[in-house]
Amino acid sequence: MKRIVITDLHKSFDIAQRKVLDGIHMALAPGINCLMGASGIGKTTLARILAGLAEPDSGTVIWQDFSLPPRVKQGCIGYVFQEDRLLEWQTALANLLFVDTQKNSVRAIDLLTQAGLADSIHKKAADLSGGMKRRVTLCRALMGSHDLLILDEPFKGLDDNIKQTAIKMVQVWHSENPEAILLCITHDEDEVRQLGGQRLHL
Amino acid sequence: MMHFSSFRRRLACAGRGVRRFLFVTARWFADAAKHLIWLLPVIAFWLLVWHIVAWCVGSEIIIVSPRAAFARLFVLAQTREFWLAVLTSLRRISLGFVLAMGAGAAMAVLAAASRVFSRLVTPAVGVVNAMPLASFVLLVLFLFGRENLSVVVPFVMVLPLVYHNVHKGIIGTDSALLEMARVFRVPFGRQVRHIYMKSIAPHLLTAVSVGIGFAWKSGISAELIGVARGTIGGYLHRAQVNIQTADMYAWTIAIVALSLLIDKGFAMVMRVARKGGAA
Repeated sequence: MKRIVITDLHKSFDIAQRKVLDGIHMALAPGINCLMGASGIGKTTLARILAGLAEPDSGTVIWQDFSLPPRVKQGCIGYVFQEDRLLEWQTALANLLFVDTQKNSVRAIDLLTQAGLADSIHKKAADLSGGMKRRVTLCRALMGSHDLLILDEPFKGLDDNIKQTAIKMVQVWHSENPEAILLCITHDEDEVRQLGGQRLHL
Repeated sequence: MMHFSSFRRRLACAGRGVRRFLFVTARWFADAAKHLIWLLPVIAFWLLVWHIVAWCVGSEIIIVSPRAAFARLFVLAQTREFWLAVLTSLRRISLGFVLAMGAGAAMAVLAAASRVFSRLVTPAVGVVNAMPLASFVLLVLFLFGRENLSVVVPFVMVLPLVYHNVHKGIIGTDSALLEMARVFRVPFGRQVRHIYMKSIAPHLLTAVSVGIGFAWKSGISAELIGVARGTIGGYLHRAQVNIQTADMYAWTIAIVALSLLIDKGFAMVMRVARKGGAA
């Protein structure tokens, strides 16, 4: 079975030698994995290490039973960052197509419509509200069939109705990609309950 | 059928682009005409000042009156040599400018990619930047000869400007966006087009708009100091040696007019491109 096994992971930052991750052991199985923990405990740092954006000081991350580690394959990691990281001067649609190698505009329009952004498909990201940008960011991450999908506080700033829609979209994506490992970082117990899956605490 | 509809879509898109271009160009000319109405009295005022000063000095060798200068320019503009000199200077200076744009941008890319290259090149570019134009012209004169002066000098003068600006644009690229592109494994070409170019473009435009004037002035000065035959600078030098003050004024007016024309032409192109891009 595909799994990501994290063993004795350590990470500290140069500034004041602050230890962020101190001997973390964890296994991520296909399906939804909700990672919880207090602020500043290292959830985002762990996600960044998994995505290949940061190197651990020591410890191992083993991609078990993957043909190739997703880090070296194209389009195999999807990521909703804490910040939106959109191309502000481009439209919502262009932002989705930017990350998609197949340039599948049908899929992109479908996702944006599902997210309630049908009227904003051709609006520039800079002209969207905070909540709309967040949904574009989520749609961008759901564009591909990734091996690993990391959602770092993906529903931050969304009102209840829209949050329900967004959670539904994530669940649909998961049902379409049952082999994928989905790691959702959140502080909200309610979100964890609705998403279901494995709970992990840091 | 699919191909035909795609062709029609592209044709319609091109039609819209042409209409947009014509609209923006017409607006530019209308704005320029409006601007000219205000500018004409200002020009008339300064011509009057020039005329009064020339009249007070009373010597056509020291200061030529505007009437005599423009009359001489009118005569010169009817000669083949005048236009040949203008074309020769324009061609050489433009070549130096274009080469500087290419080399400066390439060097900036290399410097952003390699710290060793950056450490090697940055002091050299700084030295060139600090070097007085006259001493540089004399050095170039021995190396490349008179003919190539107005290619080499604008090239070396504009290169640091392009290098610094493009380098600033590259290193100022939003690292969060680059990280996002890295996670999603966006091909490098697409990253360049959509992320890097967005950051570089304003710096590059600054380099071009400042560099055009810089290349023109340094190129003419190089021709003058190096006495390059058959060029604007060469004729200016000849007029000075022969104490043909009216010729000196006429050539200077031609240089200023050409400089303004190039500057305004570039501004117009940029405005059309920007409006076209925004449409």
